[in-house]
This record gives sequence, structure tokens and C-alpha cells, in this order.
Amino acid sequence: MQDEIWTVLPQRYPLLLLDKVLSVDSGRSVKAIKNVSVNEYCYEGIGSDACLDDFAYPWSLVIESFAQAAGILLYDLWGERMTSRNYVIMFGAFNNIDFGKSAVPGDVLEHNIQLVKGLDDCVILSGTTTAGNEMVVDVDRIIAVIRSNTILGVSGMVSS
Amino acid sequence: MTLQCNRKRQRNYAKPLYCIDAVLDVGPNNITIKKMLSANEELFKGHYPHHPVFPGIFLFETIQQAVVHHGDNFHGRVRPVRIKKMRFFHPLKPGDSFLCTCSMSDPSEGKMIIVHGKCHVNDTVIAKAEIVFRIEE
Repeated sequence: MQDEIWTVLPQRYPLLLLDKVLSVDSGRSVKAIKNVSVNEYCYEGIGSDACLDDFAYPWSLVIESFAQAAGILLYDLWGERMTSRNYVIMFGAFNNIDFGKSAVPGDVLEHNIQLVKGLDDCVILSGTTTAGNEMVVDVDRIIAVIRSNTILGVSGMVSS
Repeated sequence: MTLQCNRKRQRNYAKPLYCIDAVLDVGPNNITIKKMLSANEELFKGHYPHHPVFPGIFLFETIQQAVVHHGDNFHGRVRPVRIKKMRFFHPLKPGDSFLCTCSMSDPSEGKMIIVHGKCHVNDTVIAKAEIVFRIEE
């Protein structure tokens, strides 16, 4: 299913943060993993005096990885609009995202995601990310939207 | 094996996560920072290849780094515990620059700080968030 990641998700290096899809229950849930490696871009430049805390995988990238795993689920809804240059996928809102243990290199982030509601231009997602058996991130609600490029005006302001 | 670390300050963020270009104002309960977006930034290569958009999650990262910077000056190490809510209103593209303004509550008995963060371009709000941080020992 690795091919699926490349064909379904529009993100590329250095922001393609998903390695393997374990299972998909179409329209309902997805299970996918991201391996955290010390060779990743975000660890560049960490000095020789670094300690384990310095290698805590950034929370923002954990959430981005979670959302990309959800993207696998959204292909059934949004189809080729997802990789089209005429559309862009964006976050709409977060509600109650809890942070647990920090992931570090060597950890495998496992995303378990449920599609709470799927609409033509908007979805509500819920789920957890774990490393081993420990909770890394617990997501109550993430709302994501897909929008046509044409609404993005000059300077990135939405013009309508 | 656990590595020990006695340094008080948190690490400087590595690429592609630099989110603070300038600290404009910092006080006991507030901080304002500026971030400029250049087409040269590596992250735009992958987000997205044909259509660069600043990742919304990096607005959370910006608020977090601002609060960490504020913590370095006033409280010590801080880490996020919960995003209570965050709303995204407008996308940003290369060439834009925005300010991130955060106001912090005084630490509670549990050493929790509630942060109200807002990313804005002039009067236009790009995103706003309410995030709980904890002061680490």
C-alpha cells in the first residue's frame, strides 16, 4: 500500500510524513504508521551536546502525520481533487488535542483514525497516535477542508 | 538507556521548523513575534509541489515556539499539554509575513498556563488558538 501514499497524498519531501498504511476500512477508519528516524530533516544541526529531550519529535509534525494518514481515507470522498493543482487541502479547526509521551528516533508512530463525518468539502476526524503502547497524541476532533485554488487571492487572502 | 540533560533552555528548532524571525515584544504575560515566509523555504518544496501554501500546523508550531521563548525568559521549560481549540481562517503563501501574539495566564497551582494565541496579518486574523502548557520541573 506504499504506492497509495504517493498517489493519494499531494505532500512531498520534506513534508511527506507517512510511511506505511496498515489497513483501511473505506469511509470509516484507517491505521497507518510513520517511523521516526534520527536522519530526518527536523534533526539537522542538533549539536553533540544534545540529549534525548532534544530529539523529541515535534508535536506539529505528529499532528501533520496524523492528518496525512487520514488523507488515505479521504481519497474515496475527494478523489483526484486531492492531488489536483486546482485544489488545496487545509485544516479548518482543532478541538481538544491532548499530548502524551514525546516520540523519539526509533519510535513507530501508529495512527488510528476514524472518519466521524465526511462531506464533499469538509471532514471531521478523530483518533489517536501511539508509540509502543503509550499515547502520543489523542485527537477529539480535527476538521479539514478542501478548497478550490481560485478562492485564494493575492497574498494568500481568501477573496470570497 | 536514558540520556541526562541539565541544560535549562530548550533546543533551537531545526529545519524546516524555524518559526520565529523576530521577537517584537515580550512581557510577563505576553509575547509578539514575527515570521516572514520566503519562497526559498524548504517546506514549500513539499507543501505543495505545484502550489505552495504555508502548512496550517506550523501556525500551531509558531505559537508553541513563541510560548517556549517566553518560558525561557519567565518560567523555564514549558511543554504543550492540550490544544483546547484552534481555528484556521486564511491560508498563507510565500511573500506573506505575519505576527503571532500570545497572552498567557499566570501559572496555576498545577503549573499550568493557558495561552491565547493569535496569528494575524494587520487586522486579518489567520488563526487563533487556546492552548494549555505545563511548566516542567
